[in-house]
This record gives sequence, structure tokens and C-alpha cells, in this order.
Amino acid sequence: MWKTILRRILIMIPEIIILSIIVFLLAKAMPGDPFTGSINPRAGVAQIHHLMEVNGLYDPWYQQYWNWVVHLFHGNLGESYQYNEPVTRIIGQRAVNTLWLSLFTVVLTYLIALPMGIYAGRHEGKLPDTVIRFYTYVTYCIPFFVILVLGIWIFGYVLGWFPTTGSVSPTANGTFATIGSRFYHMLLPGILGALFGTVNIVQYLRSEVVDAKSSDYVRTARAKGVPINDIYRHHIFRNSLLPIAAFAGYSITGLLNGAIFTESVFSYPGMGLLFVNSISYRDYTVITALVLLFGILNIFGTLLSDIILSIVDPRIRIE
Amino acid sequence: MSLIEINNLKVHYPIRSGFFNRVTDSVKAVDGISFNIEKGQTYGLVGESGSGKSTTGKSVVGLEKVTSGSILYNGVDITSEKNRKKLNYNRDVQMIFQDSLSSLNPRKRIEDIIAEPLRNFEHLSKNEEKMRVLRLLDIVGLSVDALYQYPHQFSGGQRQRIGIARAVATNPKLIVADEPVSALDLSVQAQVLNFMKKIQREFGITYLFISHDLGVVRHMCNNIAIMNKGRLVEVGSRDDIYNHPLHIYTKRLLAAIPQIDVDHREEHREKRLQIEKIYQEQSSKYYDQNGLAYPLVKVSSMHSVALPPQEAKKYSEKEVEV
Repeated sequence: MWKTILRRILIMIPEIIILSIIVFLLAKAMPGDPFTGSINPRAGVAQIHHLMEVNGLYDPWYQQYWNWVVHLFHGNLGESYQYNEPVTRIIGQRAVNTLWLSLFTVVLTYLIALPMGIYAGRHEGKLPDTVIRFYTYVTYCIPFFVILVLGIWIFGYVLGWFPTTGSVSPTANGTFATIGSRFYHMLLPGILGALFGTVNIVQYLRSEVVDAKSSDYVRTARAKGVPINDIYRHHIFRNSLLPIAAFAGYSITGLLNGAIFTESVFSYPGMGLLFVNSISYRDYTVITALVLLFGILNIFGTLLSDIILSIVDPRIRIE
Repeated sequence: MSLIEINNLKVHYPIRSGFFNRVTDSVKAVDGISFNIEKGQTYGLVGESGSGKSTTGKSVVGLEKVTSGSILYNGVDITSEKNRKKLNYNRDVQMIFQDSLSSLNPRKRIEDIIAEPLRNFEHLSKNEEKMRVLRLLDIVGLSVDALYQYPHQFSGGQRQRIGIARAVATNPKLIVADEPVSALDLSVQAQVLNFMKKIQREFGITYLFISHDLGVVRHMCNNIAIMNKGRLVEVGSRDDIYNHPLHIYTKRLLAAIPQIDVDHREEHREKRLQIEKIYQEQSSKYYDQNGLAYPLVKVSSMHSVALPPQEAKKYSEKEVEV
């Protein structure tokens, strides 16, 4: 077990190195520069060139990459061109927001999707199954940002139940009020994300339950005289959870992608919104840092999936 | 009284088709069979694949929804789930399956697999339960290490023995063995079969042995029933079936057993061809206009055959004379 995990972690090192090179080169390959938009009209081309040179943007790529890596190991991701602040601080503030929103969404998604998947699988072909499948297909077909805009319009503006921007109300005072206000701001994007992100889990789980239902070991369990509810609890559910478990690690990164939509529509100050802004301002240091972070999270997500899999399925463990 | 009495058992599967998914027809997997199972005996249920023998076995265990007919266990009809629950029926009737790997949950340890029937029906302490599981493992000749291993870590024969240990865990009275050795090679087959005989002697278990392997059935069973197209065609003792088969289907089935006697190879071949010829000529006589077997007729106290009406009359008259 530990050997399996250690081996997986060792493989991650070259993965991360290759990832960092690709990320760095892609960021550099973007057209434009970080200064054109931010200097006043009287400054000439020479001044931009000067800024580029001072910041080392004319050096060969491997030298720039090397500088970047050396700084990286000192915990220094450079300064944002846009905010004139250390990148670590900018990302740090927003990462917390995104983390809470993602966590809230993912917990809510599983809470909704797991019972639906099992119920649909258990009553395959009956009315509840048809209804659940119809629901998941509908949610799958509508683009997510359309849902977000609709949701914000109906529940935010027309009904006025939820706040439409930001992550916390500026008037909230005291710890509890702040936490309450943060939670209140997360509710609408979280619920929408959960209600419209169930399709994968429900469909996978449903088909797994349908498969497991007719499998030989379930027949054995019935022959043993296990009550039907216990069969679902101990035999079918655990075996059907395998692909869902494999999914859990990846769903972290999937949520970050979703965060780009959610946070842009809700003006929610998290990493997704930061990412979109940084791209439009060519804020190289922030972009590379964020893409690297997303990439590393992705790699850790797969690691997490592998670990969960080896816990759930004894056959996967490497001796 | 018989341990199990099966009366006119029918299991039909509906075929749905059309736009509204209506039931348009049905597959008659088992179409009206009756027989009794006496305590302590071994019964063989033989037939080609698709003849409904597995469905019969599953119905006896209660895994199959019965269309009509009844299965009486000590006089109580167990085709209804309520009665099965009341009786703790599956404590007394267990099943062994053909595919030992897929019929064991791959994500459960052997300890849990064997202990699960105990957990259903008996409330034992952790320690007692462990002792029982260890004793069962000992009976089937597996070491203590097996407790914490998973099904995929065993060989086919070992896995089948785990399946048997699981089946005998609750001290059942009847075990339905659905082709228990068909997936094993011959040396392991003998090992598992002898082992089943051993536990039968020790615990007085009744077997319903489902197989298409006539050699195995001859080795195991005192009473044999031959099935064809969801109906019984011949029921009798081992001697009746193997030495005095009356139904054309039984004869044909017996002729299909390969002989290892090489010297008389040609004779065997001729005999087989002859029976096949008779079958081609007479098969219409032995089956009704729908291609199904006729009802069983008693030819002696133990031996019943599905004979066509005109021949059946002969036997019933004879019986009257006697």
C-alpha cells in the first residue's frame, strides 16, 4: 500500500518539471506585453522596451525559466504587473475563497447525486429512474454559464433572495456575521453548481448499480439470505462506488474549471476570476503561477484518485 | 413427508416489445414440472443448456420469481417472500454456483464472505463468529491465512471450496449445487466432489445437483431427473436412467457420453449414429405438436417417463393389472 503511494509520488516529480516548462513556454508564447496597457499616452516605445529589459523579458527563454525556478524555490513567484504586489499574496487571498466555494459545491453535489444514482439504478426502467435520467440530461445539455446568468437573474434580481456579487458583505461585523455572510454568498453559486453538476456521478453510479444488481456475487448474497436492503448497502453500493471514487480526485480540478465561469458571473473574488483578469492584462507572473498551481492540483488529484482506488479495490494494490 | 415438494412449477419470462413496451410473449424457462426431494439424498437435474435446470434450482432457493405452481418446504409454500422470511428459509437452503470467481464479491475478504450468512441468521459474538469461520475453513481444508485474503488470490478449486464453506456455514438441510464443478479441471473436480460427499455424510445434507455432465451426475446422485425444454422427460434412480432409459432424449443424451474404450471405437460410433437415426425418425412421436414433452407417466415405483399418450396407456393398464 505505502509502496504504491511512494511510487506514485516519485513519478510525480518529472511530471511536475515537464509541466512547469510547458506552462512557462505557453505563457511566453502569448502575444502582447504587460506594459502597453498600463503606461500613459506620452510614454514612447522606448520606455516600454526599457521596462521589458529591466524585467528581463528580452532574455533567452531558458534563462528566464531558470530565474523563475530559482525564485520559485525561494517561495517567490514574482510580482504581479497588474497589482504591483507579490503573486503569492494575491493568489493566497483568493485561493481561500475558491477553496471554500469548491468544497461546498462538491459536498453538495455528492449529497444530491449519490442517492439519485442509487435510487435510479435500483428502480431501473421505472418512473423515478426515467425522471432522474431526464433531469440529468437536461442539466447536461444547458451550458453552465447560461444557468448561472439565469440563476443570478431569477434568484438574485427578480426574487432578491441571494446576493449577486462578491464573497462577503462589506457591512458584516464580527466573526459570526462574517462567516454567515460568506456562507450566504456561497449559497447560490454552490447550489447551482451542485444541481447542474450531477450528471456524471448519477449516470456512472446508475449504470454501475444496474450492472452490480445482476452480477453473480449479488446472486450469491441473495442465496445466502441477505436482506435486500443489506445487499444494496454492503454489496452493491461499495462495488458501484469504484468509478465514483476514481472520479473524486479529478473532480477537484473540474471544479477549478467551473470556478472560472462561476466566479466571473458572480464577480466572486477567487482564483477563477483572477485567472480570467490576468489573461486579459497579460499578467505573466500571475498566469504562470496559476496554471502551475492548477496543473499541480491536477497531478495531486490523480494521485488522490489512485489512493482512493487502492483503498476501495484490493485488486489494484501493487504488492 | 418430503423435504421439498415441487408442484407444477412454472417460471415464464415476459418478452416486451413495441412502442408501449407491452408484454407480447413469454419465454417458458420452466413449464410445469413436479418432483419431490427426500431428506439425505442426492438428486441430479440434467439437461442441455437452456433446458431450465438452473432456473428450477434458483426457484428452489427463492432467487427466481415463480409464475405459478408451488414449492413446499416442510409443508409451507416458499414461493412467497413472506413465508421465506418467516421460516428463515435461506438458513436451511443454500446454493453453490458454477463460476466461483464472479460469485464471490471481489472486494470482500474471505472472513466476511463466509461469516455473512452467520451474521444474517445467528447473533454470535466476534469471537464465536471467528471460531465458526475457522472451523469451516478447516473443514474445507484451507489454512488460517485465507481469512484475510481476497477471492482473486485463490485457485479455482480453492475458491469453489470457499463457496462450499459459505454454503454450509448455517448448517443447511438442502444445498442446491448449480454446476459446481463445470468450471474446474478434472483432478480438482474429483477433489471438490469427494469433498461434497464427505460433508454430506457428516452433516446429513440433501443435494440438488444441477449438471450437464453425466459422468459427474452418475458419481454423485442416487436419483436423476432429465429436463428438456422446460419440462421433465424422465425421472428415476441412477440404475433406471443409465441402464434402462425409455425416453428418446435420455437415450440420445447417454449416447453422447464420450467413451475411453478405444478398442471398440467403431462400435460406439455405430451405436451413436443408430440412436441419432432413431431420434430423427421418432422425435415427433415423443413430443407434442408444440415440440414439448408429454406429462410424466409412472413405469415403476421410482421411474417416470414422459411418454406419448398411446404408449402411456400401455403402462397405466399394466399397472392396473399388477
